[in-house]
Amino acid sequence: MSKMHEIVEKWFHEYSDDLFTWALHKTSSRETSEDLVQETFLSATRGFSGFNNKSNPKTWLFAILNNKIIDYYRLKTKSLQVDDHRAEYKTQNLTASFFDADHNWELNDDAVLWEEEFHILDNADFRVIMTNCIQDLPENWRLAIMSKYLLDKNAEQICQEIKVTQSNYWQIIHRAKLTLKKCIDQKWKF
Amino acid sequence: MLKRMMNVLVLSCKEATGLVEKKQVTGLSLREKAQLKIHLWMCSACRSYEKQSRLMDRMLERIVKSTKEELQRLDDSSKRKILQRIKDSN
Repeated sequence: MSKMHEIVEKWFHEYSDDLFTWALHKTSSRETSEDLVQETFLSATRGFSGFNNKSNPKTWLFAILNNKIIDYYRLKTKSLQVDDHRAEYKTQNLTASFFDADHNWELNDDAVLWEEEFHILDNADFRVIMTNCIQDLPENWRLAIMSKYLLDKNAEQICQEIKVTQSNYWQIIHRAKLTLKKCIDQKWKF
Repeated sequence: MLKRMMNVLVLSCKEATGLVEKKQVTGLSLREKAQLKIHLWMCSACRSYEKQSRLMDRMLERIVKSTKEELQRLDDSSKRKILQRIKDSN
C-alpha cells in the first residue's frame, strides 16, 4: 500500500465521524451523507498531490466536503424542480379545495380542535401522526418547512440554498402547512 | 364605498392564513398587520389555524432535533465499505 493511501486512511479514522456529522447536519439524509463522506475521501486521494502539508488535513477535508454539499444542493434543486412538479401541482389543487369559492374555510361540523389538546407536543400519537404527514409532503415542501431547523439559517440564507425567492418561500410554507394541518385533522379523529 | 372599504380590510381565510405564515418569514407591512388582526378577531377558524401553525413548528423542531441526535455517527459496516473504496482507488 502506498504512503498516500496510508495517510488518507489515517485521516479517515480520525475525521470521518466529524465529517459525517457535518454532512448529516447539512443534508439530513444518512444515505446522502455517507456518499458525500466517501466522495470526499476519494477526492482527497485523487487530489492528494495538491494537498499542502502546511495546511491542516481536517481543514482541507472539510473544504472538500463543503464543495460536495454545495454541488449536492445544486443538483438536488434542479432535479427537484422537475420531479416534484407533478406532486406539487396535485397537492396545490388539494390545498385549494380546503377553501370555498370565496377562499374561506370549507367548514364542516366536526372541526378537529387538536390545538386545544393538553400538552399535545408530548403526545406520542401526535408525534407519529405528524411524522407520517411530513413524509407525505412533496419533497421540496418538506425541505422548505424543515430547513429552518435543519440548517440553523435565516430565511434569506435558506432561500438562497433552496433557490426560491422569499415570497415564493412563505407561499410554499403556507401550502405545506395547510396540507399538514388537513392531514393531522384527518388522522387525529381516529 | 362601504363595499370597497370592506374589500380592502377584509381578507379571505386563504389570504389570512397566508399572512400568518408570511409573518414568520419576512414580517408584515402595517397594512397587512391590520388586515390580519381584523380577520383573526372575526374568524375563529383562522385563530385556530394560527395556534395549530405554531404547534406544528414546535413539533417540527423537536422531530428534526431528535433525528439529528439519533443518527450522528457512521456505522462500522459503512466505514469498512468506504475504507475499501479508498484502498481500491488510484
